[in-house]
Amino acid sequence: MPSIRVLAEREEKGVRFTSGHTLCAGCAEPMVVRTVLNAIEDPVVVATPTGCLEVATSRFPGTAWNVPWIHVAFENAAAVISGVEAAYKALKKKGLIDKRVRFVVFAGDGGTYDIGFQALSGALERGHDFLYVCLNNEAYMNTGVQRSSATPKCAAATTAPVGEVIPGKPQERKDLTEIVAAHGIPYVAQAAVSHLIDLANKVERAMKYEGPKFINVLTTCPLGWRTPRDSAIQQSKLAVETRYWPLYEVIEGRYKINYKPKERVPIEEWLKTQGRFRHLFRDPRGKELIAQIQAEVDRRWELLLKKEQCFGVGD
Amino acid sequence: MELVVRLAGAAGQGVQSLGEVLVRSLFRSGLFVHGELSYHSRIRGGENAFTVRLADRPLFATRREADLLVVLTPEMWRAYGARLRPGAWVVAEEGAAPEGPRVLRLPALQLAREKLGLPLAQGVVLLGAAARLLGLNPSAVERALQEVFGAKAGPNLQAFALGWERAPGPAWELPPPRFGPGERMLLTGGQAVGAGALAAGCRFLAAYPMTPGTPVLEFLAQRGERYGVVVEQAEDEIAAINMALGAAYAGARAMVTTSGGGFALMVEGLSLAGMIETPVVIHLGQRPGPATGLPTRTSQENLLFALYAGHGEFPRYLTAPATPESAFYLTMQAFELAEAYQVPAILLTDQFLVDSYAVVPALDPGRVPLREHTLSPQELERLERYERFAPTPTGVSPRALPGASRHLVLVDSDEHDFYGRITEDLEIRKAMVEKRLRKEGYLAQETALPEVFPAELRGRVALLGWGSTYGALREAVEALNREEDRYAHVHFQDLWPVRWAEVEELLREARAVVTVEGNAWGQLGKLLRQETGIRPARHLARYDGRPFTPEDIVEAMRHAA
Ligand SMILES: Cc1ncc(C[n+]2csc(CCOP(=O)(O)OP(=O)(O)O)c2C)c(N)n1
Ligand code: SF4
Ligand SMILES: [Mg+2]
Repeated sequence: MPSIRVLAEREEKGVRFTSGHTLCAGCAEPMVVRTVLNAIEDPVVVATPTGCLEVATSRFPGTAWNVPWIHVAFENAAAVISGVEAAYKALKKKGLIDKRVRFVVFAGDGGTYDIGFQALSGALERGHDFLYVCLNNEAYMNTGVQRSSATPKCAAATTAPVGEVIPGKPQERKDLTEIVAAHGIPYVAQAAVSHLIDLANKVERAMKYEGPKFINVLTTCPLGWRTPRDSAIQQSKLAVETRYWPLYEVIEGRYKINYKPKERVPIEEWLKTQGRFRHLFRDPRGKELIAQIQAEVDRRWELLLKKEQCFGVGD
Repeated sequence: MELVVRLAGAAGQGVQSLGEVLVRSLFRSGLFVHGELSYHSRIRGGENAFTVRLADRPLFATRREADLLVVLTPEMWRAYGARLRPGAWVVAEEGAAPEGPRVLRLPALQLAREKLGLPLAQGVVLLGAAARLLGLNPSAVERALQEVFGAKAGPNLQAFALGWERAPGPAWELPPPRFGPGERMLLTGGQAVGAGALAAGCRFLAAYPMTPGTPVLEFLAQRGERYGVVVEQAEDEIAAINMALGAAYAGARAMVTTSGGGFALMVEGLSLAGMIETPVVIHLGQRPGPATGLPTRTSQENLLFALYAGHGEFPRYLTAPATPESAFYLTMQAFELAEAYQVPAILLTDQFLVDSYAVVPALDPGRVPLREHTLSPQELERLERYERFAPTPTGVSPRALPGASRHLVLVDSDEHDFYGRITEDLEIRKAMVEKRLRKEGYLAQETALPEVFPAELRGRVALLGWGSTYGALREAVEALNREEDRYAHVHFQDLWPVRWAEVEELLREARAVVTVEGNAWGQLGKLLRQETGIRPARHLARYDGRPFTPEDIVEAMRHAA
């Protein structure tokens, strides 16, 4: 497993994602990208659809990418990486290339859960050999914080505003990790920016498998979540501790929860630190809504425990 | 009297809010203002400039050079320091601009940090100094600060005072108020489209965020609850337009809002709307392409795309508002005509129009009468049988809503007969094509001919434009005519259908035709030539993502002469 030392050494040797981008101060995206890229030893080719990461890392004459990188339209990162991978395989077959090259997508939740979902599902089903990393910040940040299907219930977004009747987003978030797992691909995981070594381990494990691999990374966004700039890691940690964002893997259909919080931290602890949920603590219905959110967190956690029990790795 | 104030800083420094405060303060002082937002597509850094013009008459264009420049960073000084008019003042963060006459440098960041503990209020400190130089009434600015910053107004009011204290007295004398409270409105094109939709009885909006279509989505999302509009954010643009079509089939006045890339995904749905003769209003806010292009900039590159998008042949209404005022009325009209002719209606705006503030006469929704265009339950009850696509002289079939009566309301994307049942009978196919296309001739009678200024075109060089270039063109023609009275401004509002025979007759009077468009091809010019045979002598193109200014046009024409 890659230790911090190994990750640091790799970065020293040949940095893959550099500073000089214009992501917000305190944004979690660069930490995730660097960790993922450093956890892969082979050469990589990266595709990124439109979104904060793309816009902020690639403005000529600067670029943060020290690896081959392609920006594509918003809805088709998985389709483009499929094409790149297929071309690579063809070259390999013809003996025109012999290096082992890895293919990685970094895409936002909008570009993954919503508009890019069809392309993703198609690529998973066709079985291309690539790693898809969703930088899940739970909204469309690049276009000014609109809701996505990853946005949690009751979070405020410009298109799920807090009104007299409507308390932010009315719907539950989509459980994309499980939907991807249902494709029966070799490797699926959830990770969080607060647990970077766990993320690196997951990437390393994932890369042992041939075929599609998917990691959904909770990637906190101080701007959209309306939290202090220096809080990205704390926010993410609390999401894990409250079981809102379980760290787990589904490897060849086998479930493994990587971290089980010992204490039950109420979801309120997480909600109350974020501006996007502030209204819940002012609204007379707030208590009831928070209870609903808690119930859904519990339901998903219990379900996950059961899945691990039934389909666990058995260690 | 005209003054240009430019506020410039990096993204994240709140330049847009400063601009809003300034335009509101001037508006409250009874002055005509125009506020143009120009920004880089990035979250941090990059250029953010807000250009405010004020005058004693309505303004719908921006300017290249400023009389008062407020700069927060050295980069912005490098970008805009040379674009100053003679006698201009500069208010700058200390270190952002070099010392000089009429340069007021303030340690605004330090003041904001040390005195207020709020570094973000740096811009408001500078604004305070600028407001005093402008001769603004401080209470007008304070009120605007309260409106823009809401609960966070407190420290910003203090920041404003810190700047105000440090400025010398007024460098200009503002004109007396030109209008009283309630006579005029301050609004952006995006707000005008949203308000027009509400006034037109829009009941359903489905959209997917894409700059500069998003402001209309956000405007309606924030007001949907109050006005009974269902606002749905779809998972992509394909879903958005098809949701709108479903809502329209069920009887709701429905709309989508997007930009070029999203519209590209909607195209199949647009064609479906043509086939099932279901009204839908599409707000298409243009930005430079192809592909992702320049996400936050402006362009007029989608005229021909909007006109020809969609496979097969079917009528549509295509219109391009010139100002926030016309955006309001044309949005209403788009809903009306879409309903009346059962066609898709496309509102073609752009980032410049959507994001710019202007002062317009108080809006009067009564100016566009709203009619019911579907059969009432009583009318339906009287009908023995109902054919959704019955052939009529105008091609418009009586429209029933599903569930409103015992009659079945069939629609189909395949070619269909008068009932809406799938058919491969080629005679019926022919009749259906003719019926659909017949609507266009009647729709054309409801569209406006281009506006001509001055009214007599004979012997003049006609500068032809459409959409948001209106203000720049009008000012340019006025300026050119002061030198030599031989120019005219011809502005298209409705772009399809157009009564081309009348347009041809009109334009044949002109000595020459020059197109002025925010695209490289001269798309209106191509259309004009195709439909009338008139070939523009020249095309003044702008495709760098910025809006035309009057001086751009004046200089280009002088150069040609
Ligand atoms: C077809 C199309 N529709 C809409 C857009 C506008 N758009 C660009 S980035 C973006 C949001 C990105 O959100 P997400 O994928 O979550 O990434 P984030 O910026 O949050 O990291 C949107 C809506 C587009 N580029 N293309
Ligand atoms: S808006 Fe959020 S995701 Fe985008 S750069 Fe800023 S912090 Fe990162
Ligand atoms: Mg996102």
